[in-house]
Amino acid sequence: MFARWYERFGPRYPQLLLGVALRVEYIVVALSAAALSLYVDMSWASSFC
Amino acid sequence: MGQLVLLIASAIAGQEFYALLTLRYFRPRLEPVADWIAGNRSEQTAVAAGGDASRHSSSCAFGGAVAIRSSAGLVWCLFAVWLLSLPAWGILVLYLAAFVVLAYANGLAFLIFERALQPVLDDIATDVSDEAEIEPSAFASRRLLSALPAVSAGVGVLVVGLVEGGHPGLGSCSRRLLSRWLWR
Repeated sequence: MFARWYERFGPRYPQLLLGVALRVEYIVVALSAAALSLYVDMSWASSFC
Repeated sequence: MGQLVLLIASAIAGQEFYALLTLRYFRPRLEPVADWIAGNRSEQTAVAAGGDASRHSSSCAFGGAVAIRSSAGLVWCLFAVWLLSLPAWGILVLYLAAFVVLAYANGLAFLIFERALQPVLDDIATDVSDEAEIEPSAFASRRLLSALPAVSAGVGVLVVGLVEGGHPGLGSCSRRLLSRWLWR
């Protein structure tokens, strides 16, 4: 998969992949923030104003 | 908007801020690699590109952005404590948890970036003679070891949170975190 992307994007590939790798962290960060709701009571939808 | 949504959105916003700064930091540093891929190929540029690619894949995890990330993490903890009306000591607990999460996220980005650079390094290797020496990343050999504490603490906290009913509170969360670390 990475080899195909490397061929496709050429010189932009390293910077592009670094951007993707950093954005994959969104999943970890978002799930961790959500995991806090296991310990602390919080509203899920629009009940908080 | 729900508190959970606000917390997730603010965490992602902080992560995006960090990502933009990191990309800006690495753009000039990855230039030799991009130049080599673009066609500026010689033994000398290949060695420089290979060294840069190897070195920067590790500094992606532990580069100069650590201070920025730690500060952003602290800001998020302050926001969460305010939003959820938690006691002040909750800042310390959340910061400890955020530290574990960010260490794991950094390690994950490093592993992905390192794997993604493999085709580039393979390509560069064809241009480098046997005598040339490209300094490998010092961090690469300790990659699994670096992920272990974060995975151990994270899984412990998550499992206990899922198994225990209701909302045991931040005190329970901190006890789980500390027990996982002390157990290690």
